[in-house]
Amino acid sequence: MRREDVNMSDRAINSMPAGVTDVLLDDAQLKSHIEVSLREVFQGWGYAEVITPMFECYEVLLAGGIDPEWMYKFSDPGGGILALRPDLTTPIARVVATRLREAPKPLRLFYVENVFRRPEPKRGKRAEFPQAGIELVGSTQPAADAEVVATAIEALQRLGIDDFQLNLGQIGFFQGVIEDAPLSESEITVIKERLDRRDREELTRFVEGRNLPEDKQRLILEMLTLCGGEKVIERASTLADNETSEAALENLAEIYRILGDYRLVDRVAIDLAEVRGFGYYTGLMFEGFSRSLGSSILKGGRYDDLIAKFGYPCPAVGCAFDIDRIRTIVQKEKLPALPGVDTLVRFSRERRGEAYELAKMLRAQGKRVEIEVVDRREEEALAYARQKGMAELIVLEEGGKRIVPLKTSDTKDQQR
Amino acid sequence: MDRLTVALPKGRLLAPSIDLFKRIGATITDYETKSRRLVFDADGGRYRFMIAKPFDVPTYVEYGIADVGIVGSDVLMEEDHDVHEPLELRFGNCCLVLAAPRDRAGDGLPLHSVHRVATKYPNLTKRYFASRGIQVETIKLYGSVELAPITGLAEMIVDLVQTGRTLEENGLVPIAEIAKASARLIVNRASHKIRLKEISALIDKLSEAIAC
Repeated sequence: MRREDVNMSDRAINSMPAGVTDVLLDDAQLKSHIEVSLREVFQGWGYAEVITPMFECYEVLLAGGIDPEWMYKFSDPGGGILALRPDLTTPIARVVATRLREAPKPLRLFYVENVFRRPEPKRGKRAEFPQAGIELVGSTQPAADAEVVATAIEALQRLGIDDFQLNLGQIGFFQGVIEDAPLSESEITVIKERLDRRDREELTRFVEGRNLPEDKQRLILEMLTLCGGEKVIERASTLADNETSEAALENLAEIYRILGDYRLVDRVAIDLAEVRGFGYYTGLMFEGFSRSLGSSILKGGRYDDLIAKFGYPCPAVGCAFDIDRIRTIVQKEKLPALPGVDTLVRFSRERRGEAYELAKMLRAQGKRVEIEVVDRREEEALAYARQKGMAELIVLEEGGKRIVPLKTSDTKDQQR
Repeated sequence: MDRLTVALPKGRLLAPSIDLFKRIGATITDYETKSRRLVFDADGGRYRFMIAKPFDVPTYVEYGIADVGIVGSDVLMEEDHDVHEPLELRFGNCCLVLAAPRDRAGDGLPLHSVHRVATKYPNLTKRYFASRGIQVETIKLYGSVELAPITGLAEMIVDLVQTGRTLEENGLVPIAEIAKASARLIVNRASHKIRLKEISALIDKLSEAIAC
């Protein structure tokens, strides 16, 4: 094939891999705005940033219990297998166990980074997406769990998101339910799948078909109803039939009490039927939803056994925000207009130096200034500046300096 | 109270679905059901109904465009959608069957050679044959699947059967039952959690109505 035959404009140069997207201009600005807002909240609560590499050793990510199916894997020149990080919690666990082992506890860490997951081809799921999150390391106290939930609530409110709800669950409750039941691993998986889909009839058929004592059958089915307000915890306590489940409920009740002290419980619901999530959760598990979106906008929970996998047993609790999804709903809310370019400076050749100094002075005042680098007539420049929503055009010409306002504060005047 | 959006399936399940909502007390006027509109409000704005092709109903529900939907379980078995499936609706009962022309039916299930099976449900078909250790080539068709064996495109079909008349009229007989199917209520995960009270109430009302 001769070089001239390869017509790049028709093919490769316009295509993108499945699951990735460009974030441009206004969208990028909005994304940045959200990230800055989240950073401020995290820092306000005492969290410090950590930045980990985009790819890690495959074994490290596997140790975190992440499904290999999800990971983009590739090999390094030495033959070792590497993978793009599918989450930040596992890499941070590695960091805590190694570089931050001696750091004073509790350790509060935050991140704002992209994660990578192999998308399911037919669904157009995202291969790369941005997450911001926090990890509170070194405390087993319910106060730590409550802090993470409270921080999440504050972060959403700070973004002007008001129609949200956080659903709290506790994996220990379900673990208690099945721990003394004669069920195999695969049977437990089926039960989890049915619970996950809230499929009462299939769950009933399955559960009745096993050799389970009647009250255990009923308990598993009752799980479907354990969603709602605070009363759910009380009701679950009457149903709980062993210490594991009871301890889990105690823990959840305490977290709820603390959130009550913070006056945040109107944002919170209880959901004990939710058993899906990363395998590394050991206690509290929660998800945030907004009425404006059909999927969750944040996920979190306690994971006391993960850092131990890297040689340093240490309890931790954290959560991650899905910035893309938050960006969708923040756009729908009323947001103060984000700053654009204010001024365009045009000049006659001999006044170029002054134009530069003028722009520099305006920029020092916080304005966003463009210097003309294109040869065009003033009408064209005005049209360009108006299209970009600029406030003014400044012209430095032989006769003097002209300022052309492009927006009047009273728009009614303009219409007349 | 906020409006609840309900996705209903075009085709044979549409009338019984609308009827079910009428039975739980939703005011749906004849004008609304007879018009060709794909989206309409009912019951004083309490519900917004949207009518989509059956295979698209779970998509609208999964993305949260519809809070709930009604769809046949055959569709849910064919494609995996991340939705809640809280209620079987006890109508639209039918069967997914493997069918072949009458003169070939005596052979039973093919055990040796590669056969062609035409179907609207390629995933389900592949899973079924894989579970029996039988190799087949699955041909995806979008409708009128009975045409395939008549014209020689495939020796067998996997199709949804209600009365069995369509099969019979085209000289086909069922050789194996793959799965039963019926209408299901599906719910968007997020809606189910954030609008738990309303959706639980809806599920309870529907549950009572179908029990009669």
